[in-house]
Amino acid sequence: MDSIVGSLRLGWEALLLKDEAYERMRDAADPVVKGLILIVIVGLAVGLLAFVGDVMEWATTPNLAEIKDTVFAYLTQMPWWQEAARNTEFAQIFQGWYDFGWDIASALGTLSIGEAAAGIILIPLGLIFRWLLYGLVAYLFARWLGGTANLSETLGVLALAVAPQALNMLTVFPYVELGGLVAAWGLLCAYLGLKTAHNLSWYRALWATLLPFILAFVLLALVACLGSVILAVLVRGG
Amino acid sequence: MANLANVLLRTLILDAKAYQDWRERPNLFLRGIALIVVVTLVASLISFAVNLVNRVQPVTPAEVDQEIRDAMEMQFQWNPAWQDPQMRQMMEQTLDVIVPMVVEISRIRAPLPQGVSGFFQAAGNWLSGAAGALGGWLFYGALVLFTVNLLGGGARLREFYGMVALYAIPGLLAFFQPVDCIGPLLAFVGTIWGIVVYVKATSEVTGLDGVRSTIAVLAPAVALVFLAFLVVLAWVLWLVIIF
Repeated sequence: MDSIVGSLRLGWEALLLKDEAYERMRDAADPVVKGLILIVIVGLAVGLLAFVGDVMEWATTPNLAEIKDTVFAYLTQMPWWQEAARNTEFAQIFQGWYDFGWDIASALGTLSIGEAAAGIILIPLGLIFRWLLYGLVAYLFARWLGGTANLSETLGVLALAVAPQALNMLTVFPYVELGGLVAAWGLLCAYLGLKTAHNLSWYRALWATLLPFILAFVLLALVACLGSVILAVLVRGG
Repeated sequence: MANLANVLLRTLILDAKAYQDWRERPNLFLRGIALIVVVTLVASLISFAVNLVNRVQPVTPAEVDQEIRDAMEMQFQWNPAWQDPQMRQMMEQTLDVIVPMVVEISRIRAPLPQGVSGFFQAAGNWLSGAAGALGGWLFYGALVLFTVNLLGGGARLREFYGMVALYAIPGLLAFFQPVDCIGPLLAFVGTIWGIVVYVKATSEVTGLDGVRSTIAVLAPAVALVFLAFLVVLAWVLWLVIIF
């Protein structure tokens, strides 16, 4: 119990960007365990409250299928439709694309209760996965830039950067969007954690914080470029 | 409380002593968060109320008709493609279908009553505004602090954020934004005033002089605009090259 309370207290102080919290985590006997406890608690709390928020949002959202049918019924009464629908092939193709568009909107914009419930497990797992992946890459960059902390200490302080995820608990209120708040706050915490744990200067700590994201961005950009080249070849070939 | 209000008001007239008083208060970062949240929520209170009333009230065909007609009138005036008489006639005929469609869509019920849905939607937008303001404060603050460091200044993260949060106070003028004519003007004055307070707070907390503080505050905005332009340019060039 003490360990849980201690981890939560560290998380709160880390959220307020107090250097001492990161120092205490770095010097703790078991920073990885402490960090993992914090992430699991935050993840479960966020998952549970987000589930409540999702259910509320579902209960306050009109049925999308009913909207789709209503729009289509009126579309077919519009003057342009009367002319275009003389061509039966056009009407069929239009109906196909119309259904496809609504299917995408439905997949992206609405959430089933089952998907929302899965979040209770998937959110903590996702946080742990991101923590381990980012922690490992940031550790490598920090050491490359002259950092002194070991992997356990790095993961410990970076677990504190998960503390801003607790703000996602606000999504218990439906329709609340946090935008980039959690990401920006998390980056600041990660910067402070790497700077403190590795005894880095401000600009080296900044690079150690951002390089994992830059690397991910470069990889994604390369994949996107490759994808667009393949698309271009296909378009030209067709 | 009166003392706190006094300190906050004096920061508006750029009184250096007030900035010092604010800086010496405990939990400066937490105070900064509270300040930004409270100011944003108060400033958008009228918008929240209007939004709430609009969402709770049932939609009437006359209102929908008027709103769509206003939007179409703008298009007829400014969009060259809509100035063709044939186009105008077709759009006016379409309007006769769109109005009942919008009214019928607005009558499709969610499982909870419209009053509850409307309240949650309006409250959600209202709270999201505060979250957005906090996110902007943290993101832009990081860029400013980076520039400050490049210019030879420096400050601890939580102190810096606590100090520059004072920029939010003139934003209270946005409370009057929904008022016709004068509202947007007051909000604009609040924005400019906020930038001036940001520069002063940056100068006080980082030790930079006025000119360097101004550069530190404005340079990230210029850099972001330039970066956005470059990204769009690179994207367009890439599309031109491959297609």
